[in-house]
Amino acid sequence: MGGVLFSCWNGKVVDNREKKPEEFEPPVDISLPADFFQGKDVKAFMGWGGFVVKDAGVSVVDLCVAFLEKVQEESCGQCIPCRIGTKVMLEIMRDIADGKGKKGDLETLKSLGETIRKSSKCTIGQTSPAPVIDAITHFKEDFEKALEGKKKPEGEGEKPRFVSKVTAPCMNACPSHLNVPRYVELIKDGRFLDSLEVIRENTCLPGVLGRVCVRPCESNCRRANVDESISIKYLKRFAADFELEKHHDPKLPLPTEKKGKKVGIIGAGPSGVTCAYYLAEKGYQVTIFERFGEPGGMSAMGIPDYRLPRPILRREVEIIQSMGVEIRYNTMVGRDITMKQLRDEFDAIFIAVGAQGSSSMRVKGEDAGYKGFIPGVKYLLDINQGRDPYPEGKKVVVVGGGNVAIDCVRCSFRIGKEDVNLVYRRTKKEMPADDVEIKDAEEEQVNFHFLCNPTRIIAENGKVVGVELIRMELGEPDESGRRRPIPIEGSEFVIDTDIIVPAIGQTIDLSFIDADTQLEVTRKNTIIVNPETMMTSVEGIFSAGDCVTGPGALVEAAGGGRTAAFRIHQYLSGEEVKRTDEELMEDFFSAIGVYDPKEDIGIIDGRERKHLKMLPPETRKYTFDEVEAGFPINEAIEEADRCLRCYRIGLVAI
Amino acid sequence: MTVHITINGKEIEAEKGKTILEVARENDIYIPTLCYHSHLHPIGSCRLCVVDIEGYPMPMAACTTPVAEGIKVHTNTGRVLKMRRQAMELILVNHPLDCPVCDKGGECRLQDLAYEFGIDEQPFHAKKPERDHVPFSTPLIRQWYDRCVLCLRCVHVCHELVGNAAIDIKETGYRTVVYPVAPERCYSCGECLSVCPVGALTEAVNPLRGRLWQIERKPTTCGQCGVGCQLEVSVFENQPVNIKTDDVAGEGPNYGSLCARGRFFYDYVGSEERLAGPKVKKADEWVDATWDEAYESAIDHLREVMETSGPESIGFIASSRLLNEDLVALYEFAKNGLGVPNVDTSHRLDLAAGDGADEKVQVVASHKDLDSLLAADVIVVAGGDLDMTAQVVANRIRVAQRLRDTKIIVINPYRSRLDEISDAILTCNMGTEIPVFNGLLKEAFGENDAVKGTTGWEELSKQLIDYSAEAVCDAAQVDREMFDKAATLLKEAGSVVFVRGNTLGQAPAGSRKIKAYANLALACHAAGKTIGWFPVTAYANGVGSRLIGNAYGDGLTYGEMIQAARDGKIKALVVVEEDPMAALPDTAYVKEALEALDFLMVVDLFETRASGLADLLIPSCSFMEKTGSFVNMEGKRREVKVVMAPMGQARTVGHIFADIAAKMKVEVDLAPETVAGRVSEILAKAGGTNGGVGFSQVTYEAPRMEENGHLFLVPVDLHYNHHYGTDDIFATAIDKLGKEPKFLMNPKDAARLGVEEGSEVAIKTERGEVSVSPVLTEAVKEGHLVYKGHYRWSGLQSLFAFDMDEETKTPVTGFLRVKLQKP
Repeated sequence: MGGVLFSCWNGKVVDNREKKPEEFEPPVDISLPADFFQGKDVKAFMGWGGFVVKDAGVSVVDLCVAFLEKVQEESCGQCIPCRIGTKVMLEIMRDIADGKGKKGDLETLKSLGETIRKSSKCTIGQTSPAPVIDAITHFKEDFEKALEGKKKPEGEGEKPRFVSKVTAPCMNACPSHLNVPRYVELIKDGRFLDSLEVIRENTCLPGVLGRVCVRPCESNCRRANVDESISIKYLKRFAADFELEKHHDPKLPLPTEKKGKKVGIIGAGPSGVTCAYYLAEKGYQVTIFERFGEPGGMSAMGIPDYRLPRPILRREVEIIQSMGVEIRYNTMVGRDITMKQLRDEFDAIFIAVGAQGSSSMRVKGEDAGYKGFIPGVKYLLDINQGRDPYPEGKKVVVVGGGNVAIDCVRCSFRIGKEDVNLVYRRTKKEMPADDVEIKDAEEEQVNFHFLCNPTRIIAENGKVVGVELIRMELGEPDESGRRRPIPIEGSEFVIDTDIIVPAIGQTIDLSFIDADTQLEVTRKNTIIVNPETMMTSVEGIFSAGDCVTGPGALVEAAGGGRTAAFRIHQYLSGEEVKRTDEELMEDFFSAIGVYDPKEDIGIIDGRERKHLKMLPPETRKYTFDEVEAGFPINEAIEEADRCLRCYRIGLVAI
Repeated sequence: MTVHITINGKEIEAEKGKTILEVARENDIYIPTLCYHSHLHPIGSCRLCVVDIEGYPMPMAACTTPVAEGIKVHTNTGRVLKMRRQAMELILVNHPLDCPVCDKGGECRLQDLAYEFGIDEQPFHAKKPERDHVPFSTPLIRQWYDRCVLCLRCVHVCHELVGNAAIDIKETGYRTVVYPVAPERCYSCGECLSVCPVGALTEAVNPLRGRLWQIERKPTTCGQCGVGCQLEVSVFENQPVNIKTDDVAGEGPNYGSLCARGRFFYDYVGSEERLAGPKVKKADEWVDATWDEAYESAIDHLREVMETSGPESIGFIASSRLLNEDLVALYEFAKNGLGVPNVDTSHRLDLAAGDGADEKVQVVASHKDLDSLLAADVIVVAGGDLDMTAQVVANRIRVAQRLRDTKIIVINPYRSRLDEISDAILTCNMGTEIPVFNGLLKEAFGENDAVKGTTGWEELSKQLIDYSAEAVCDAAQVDREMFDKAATLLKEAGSVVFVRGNTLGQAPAGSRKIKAYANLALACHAAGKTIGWFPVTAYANGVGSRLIGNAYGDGLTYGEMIQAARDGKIKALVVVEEDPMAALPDTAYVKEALEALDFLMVVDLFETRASGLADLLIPSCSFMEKTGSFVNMEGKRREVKVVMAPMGQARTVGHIFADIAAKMKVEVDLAPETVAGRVSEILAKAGGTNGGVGFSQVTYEAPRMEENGHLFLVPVDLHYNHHYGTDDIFATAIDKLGKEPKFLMNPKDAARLGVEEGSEVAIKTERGEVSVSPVLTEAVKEGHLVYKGHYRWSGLQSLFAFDMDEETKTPVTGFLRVKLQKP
């Protein structure tokens, strides 16, 4: 621990070298996490925006050499300034470090660095010379000494270990860390199947995520600083659809040799199947236990067909099965097979049961068993299995502001409901649902009732006939940052309805776990795992997805499943179960922030984002056909061409 | 939509969507480039085209930056000049100074740029990466790692245009290298070579080389297949030394693209095997003769046969690679001069199978040239692997799909490269194309009132009763989803272009298959779609020879003349640049026929199989040695120009027959102007006169598999074998690429018949047997044996019976029922 000796980030210099530790000023524009891994301190960091030195023992010259070596390793070779220029810089820098530098070398580095920075094709070349030039500028003496053959450190403690990684704002924001710039670039080049191969390195659900991902990548897209973010999600869908539409067999990684060890997975949702895919790739024998007769978990049961056609999901699961994964459908752990049996049969277990219960609204009449009271998840489950849960009801009130609530209202039209209402206790601005989804629902003429909340369910003869609501106003922000809704006393009113669908949150059902399996859970009934190992309190049982994090995005659950696969692999192959350097770097990047929404990119704007063609609201609202048609080939290429390929490199000395 | 910009202060109105570079070039403002190529999506690797835009801190690459309203571009600010100069200095790090021995010396983009920038020293240094030399993806091209500037044009053209994806970059940073990642996919088309701006890829075909200032480069039309590509021949010391397209890249139909044959097979023209002079056979020995002696021999023999048996016992068989002018002279001489009724050309072997049907569709087709591929919503390809028979057309289809998301339907009895980007792949059983066409017609247009109102519908609809989607998919073993998809695409398209492959007509009932395919096109037209119809032909002047042949009227066809010769009815044959022994089925039959002749005269560039049986051999000119025209598959007249003087004593066919006519005192005017006039007259009349559009009636008999152990042999031309065993077999490229034929079969058939991969089996017909060693692959349908290669080197021809299409008399070379037997 301790303060920062020197930092220069985005050109903002804080130099504490001549100061006493207690007078150290904090760095500007960057704040390093306290430690890198298990108390190992970061001695220095060099990256796209500059560099930071914490430990006086680190040679900035060596740091530059290590950084440029990484740049050469990552330079894709597709443009001249970066490919050759950084090689020339590296060799000069190596000579300097070896005491073989020449007069004028520093000027050459600066001049060449400036050309590379301003003329390279992508941000590897555009960002990488800057920290080196900064180092030469601010640690001039060190370089001059090195030029004279007197480089430090001279025997000052152990040499630091350098850990480096390439990232991009979109990549780092993605829970599955998809190599977005690469797969987008391959689409630009017309190499759609190659693009899909890159996507599959990080997710086995390209067609699913390409349709329903909440796309953290797009809200971390640097193109938005110029005009609009890249349509990353739909480009992914495009690549997946191309394979399907042009009848190609998926190009899958060949499983490595059979490991002879078995993993049991509970739940065939995004987390479970993803974990299975990456374990199968490593040669494990994987069996998934799924209580329904369909794969997909909440992505199948919770997402309606008009957003995610069933054949897309089924195909991606079939691909996973083709890799040797067995799925036992209609098999509920705790009912059809016990936890004990699982623990006896498998070398490791992965729990990925998601959050499939509905939260209670805590209003009168909720538990009375009225006909017409249907929890959101159950409502969607029935509809997705082709059943109208209550055909007699024609008017629906859905309560909630998330994606499940929106799915419930949009599905209602599609099963023939005539009057569809959504009740939300805050305003549209605070709705957690995807803005696009909200807009689509508005176009389909859902009646929105903002700033209201149910207080009582009104029933006659055991059937729902209405709901009493109370008006709300917004008060001070709560811990989520959103303004807290406060009931206005005496403002109660009643709306008539046949059906009430609460969709205010999901709960986790862990009743399948027997008492012998001493699984520790939180107060909210989420499973506790060691963040380092992803193992639960029980040896050999791992977990990830909604049942650990609480209800979250599909891509987070999938990402969790993928990471869990790596942990399970470490566990089963007798390695230390821990995060890899690569993951540590990802966390490190997240801590310092990769995307700067205020950055001025400095290039011309005006290349609008491409949008998908949609069925018109008046026809689509009555059908489960997919609402959006994927990109045509030419538009996918044009959209991909907007990508700025924001790769950048970070290197820490520890 | 236009935007207003300034470049270096000049006010310009520019089209929105164009890049700064495109607009600058249109306005004659120079911006240096190295990687940019007008036929490729901008690559942006060289960074030489960086420009400054007022108000923006970053310089931008002109090739990838689109224009925007109000921008003020400066192409020559101090900092961009410095960046360009440094980029050049970086490129030159370790670039060898071997310009004097580099093929590109004198026409190298890097050389020009280094000169332009005045770079006379290399301020930067880096250690040169060491690497072992790996052969490039084709033996026809040599790769020079040190000369490569990694502009990546080659990689992009291979993926984007050719769809081969045979090369890619490997490794990173300074070690990055262009590498043959999938050489087995390489078609040796040489598009990579063609776009290389430096000497990193050089041609490894012809040892002859000439410097830019030593050679003459002249434009002409390719003399190989019927696409009619525009190219330039570089000639050094009266020998062709390479083929380029740089200066004709703006011209269709090929826009700078060529296939392996067009680009690399040119050196047969300068081959040492070319006939030096005329020869007459005396006592079974060839004896050199003067032209006068040769002409006399021809005249004497022809006169003798005319006098004893009449002109109807004489036949003329000419190649469809001859110029229109050659052919008119020949027809005038034979038909109008001698009164010989029997004149035919080798278009009989492929194009003629579509006689009648082709014209019927082309009359109503509004898409007249191959550019229309870029206007189509749907392109249908049936009857051959287009990448092997007309790769340039396949390239245009790939461009179309990238620009317009064009949907593609492929109907073939085997898988092809185009399948990889196709929306509906109808891989039918051999011989079941008719049900597929009929089924699609019924499914897509069976209920369309306009289609039902078309002449011939009543009769056709009776036949269509049997062609439900279900029945068709069952009979043809076509995937039902693919079939439905194809029908939907046809129904929904506004514009459909049909490519009629030449192998469709070479199987039994070939003409009926084409009629059924044409019915589908006519139905599209009747349903209100704009259509195009492009028959592929292996012959540079296939279409021209069909038009000329039609203009001169009927007589015995190519195959019928051979039959008649065997039956003793034809006594003298004049064979011009065509080799019946190499082109026709049943070699033994053809040999007997030729042996039975009283007189066989062969006019050719080379000795041929048939010329071994001839009495007189006369040397003629290649397409590079004459002036005139071809009519290509678009029906367009394409200029052929002299690029070099004739080799040896060779004379053009027109010249030869004019000489003979004069000496023989035959009353025809074969003066070049008269012949040219007659050609124009004939071509002017072509097309547009055919009245009454209506459906043709097509009967169908399912091909029968007579006994267990029989397979359908499906010949698929290898691209470089897509010829009839004449002329370009003397190209050195053929030797480098290898002539070994390949046989492919389904593993299930192999298991059923007890065939193991690599083991020898005999394929047998009633006519004979040939020993082969099949490769097993799922890509071949069950019941089929796919043959890739040319008959010339497989002996397969001897297995065929001498069959012809019942209507158009196209010899059957594209289908054979064979029995497989272990030795």
